[in-house]
Amino acid sequence: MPLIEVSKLTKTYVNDEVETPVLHGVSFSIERGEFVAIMGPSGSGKSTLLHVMGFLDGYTSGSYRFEGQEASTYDGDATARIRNKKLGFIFQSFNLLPHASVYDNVLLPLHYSDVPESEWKKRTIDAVEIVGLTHRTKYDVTRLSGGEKQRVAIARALVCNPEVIFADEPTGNLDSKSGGAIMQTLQDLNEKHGHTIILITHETYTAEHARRIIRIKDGLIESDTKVAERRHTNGGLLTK
Amino acid sequence: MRFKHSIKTAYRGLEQNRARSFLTILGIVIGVTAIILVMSLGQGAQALILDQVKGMGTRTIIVGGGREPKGPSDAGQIFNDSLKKRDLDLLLRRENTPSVKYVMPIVFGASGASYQSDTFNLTIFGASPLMEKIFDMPLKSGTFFTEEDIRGRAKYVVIGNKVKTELFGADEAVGSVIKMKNHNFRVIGVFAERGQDFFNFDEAAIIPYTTAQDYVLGIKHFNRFITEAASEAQINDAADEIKLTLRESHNITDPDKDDFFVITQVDLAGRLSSITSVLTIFLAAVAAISLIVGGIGIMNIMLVSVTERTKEIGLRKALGATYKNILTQFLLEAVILTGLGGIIGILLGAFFSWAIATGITKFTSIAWTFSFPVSAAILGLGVSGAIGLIFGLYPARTAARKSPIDALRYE
Repeated sequence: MPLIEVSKLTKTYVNDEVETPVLHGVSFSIERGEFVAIMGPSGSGKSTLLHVMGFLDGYTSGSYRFEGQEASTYDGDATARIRNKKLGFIFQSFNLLPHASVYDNVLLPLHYSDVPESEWKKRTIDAVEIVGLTHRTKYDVTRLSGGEKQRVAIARALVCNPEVIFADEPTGNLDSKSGGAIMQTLQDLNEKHGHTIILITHETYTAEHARRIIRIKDGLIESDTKVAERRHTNGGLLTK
Repeated sequence: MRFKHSIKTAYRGLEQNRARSFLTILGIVIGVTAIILVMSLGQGAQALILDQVKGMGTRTIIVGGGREPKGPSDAGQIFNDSLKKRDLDLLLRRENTPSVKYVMPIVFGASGASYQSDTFNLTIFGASPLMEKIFDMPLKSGTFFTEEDIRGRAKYVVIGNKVKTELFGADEAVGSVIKMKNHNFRVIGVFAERGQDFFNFDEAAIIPYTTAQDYVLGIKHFNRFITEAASEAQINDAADEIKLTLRESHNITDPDKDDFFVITQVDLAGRLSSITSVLTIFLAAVAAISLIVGGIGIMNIMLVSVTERTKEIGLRKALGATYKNILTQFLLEAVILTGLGGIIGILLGAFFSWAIATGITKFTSIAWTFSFPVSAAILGLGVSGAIGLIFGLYPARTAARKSPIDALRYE
């Protein structure tokens, strides 16, 4: 059973009775442990696809099965639980809580989880260590550089030990050096820790860190190919 | 989501906008301060009045001429002349009023009193020697006048402590002559200081009632009869006997047409305390309006805060926060805001009423006691918390209903 199975999925935004179709029927599946990049120009529907897969948004027709169960059968609280337990998110604009420490930011998802409070500290410290920010644990996140902020976001995505990590243009706001380091970190998480990673990007350069690239254009799948020669960057941050 | 964390999160949300949070709760602070102040002063006033009424003696029954004054429109009743000498004689007859121990007629009026170059405005009471017994008024020096002086219309006066100080200073007053309404009165006694009481005897001069009627006030009637029941158990009997005697004397068959009124000390205490209660409640209600206005302010600011933090709400939802989590967070913020306002208001209200009580005791002779209105404090805290809940609900629901993706995209 694939982890994610998308079939003839369509999504149409309705705003003031104006219908804007975004996805016109896409089908693919993703197995556990894959590292997939979804590519496409802006407006192609790739972000919408990620939001649907991430239980952040609904879909209009077709089917989306996560771990074999149809997503539309979950109610609001159940989707919140799935997002908390099984999914991790990394956003282009980091989306950290301002004026809070690295520790508090990474800890945040645990507050909404059923992980016993006695484990919170260890989990948080471990996640911060994985992204190599132990020396910044008590820093206010507003004092960090862009690359460091994104690493905090990665640690936050990891702290509940999710099945899938969704990364939406994670290097979009970073210079190429820290962007490379972030990509290498994701690669290591996939290879060494076995996390399934779904990456959204519009840069071929970034996408080639993945094992598989799904190209989307105008709401339809254009191509779905294995990456022949994966790109690796120096400066991965994994410490273990 | 743990409650402890919710509180911490809410607190952090408020801390980020400290000045705004403070301004927001100002309405609640003022409202609660006002309520505590009004309630505390109301309690103090009530305690003071009850204390003074109790100082009259529990067995005291007051009889007045005319209808009982129940409001400003009855003010004229104070000049009613229905109580006559005949009534006094009938009341003094043992067979008419077996339950009544003492009957003392009283007349009163305002007058200036002068000694040498000093003048003082006081109240003249025309009374009888029973005064000492009914009101328990020990003399500091001198003696009280006698029944003999009543019959002889003696121009003797017993003065209150303040009158003595104002006119004579440290000098001996007994034996001196003071002038009131163009008549010379010999001071034969000075009362010990009583402090603020119901009749304000410290600023009064007591003369024989006959003298007062004939020489000073020029009236034939009495303003009041101050009577005392033989025992506390006989107060109601005594009051009934007085009413029957007076109705017979005035040829009244319908009790609704009484041209006099009878009030026991218990009645008086009850009436006065119900007046202060009503006043207190009315003022507190006015103060409560500012709480509602404060609540609307809270709602307004919470809505702004929800909009401002749309992105944060989206993030929390993406990380697994449920509808309930977000609702709780924003409700708690509102309740913490108003609760904080309530606590500050209670402290301020208590402080101001304490300051006022201290000021009154220090600068006047009124024995005002500060009392912290515990029930009002609990009520104030409860009401401000409830206002947070009620006015926080709409903004909190707005926050909790946001779709995570719309919220995340919000710029």
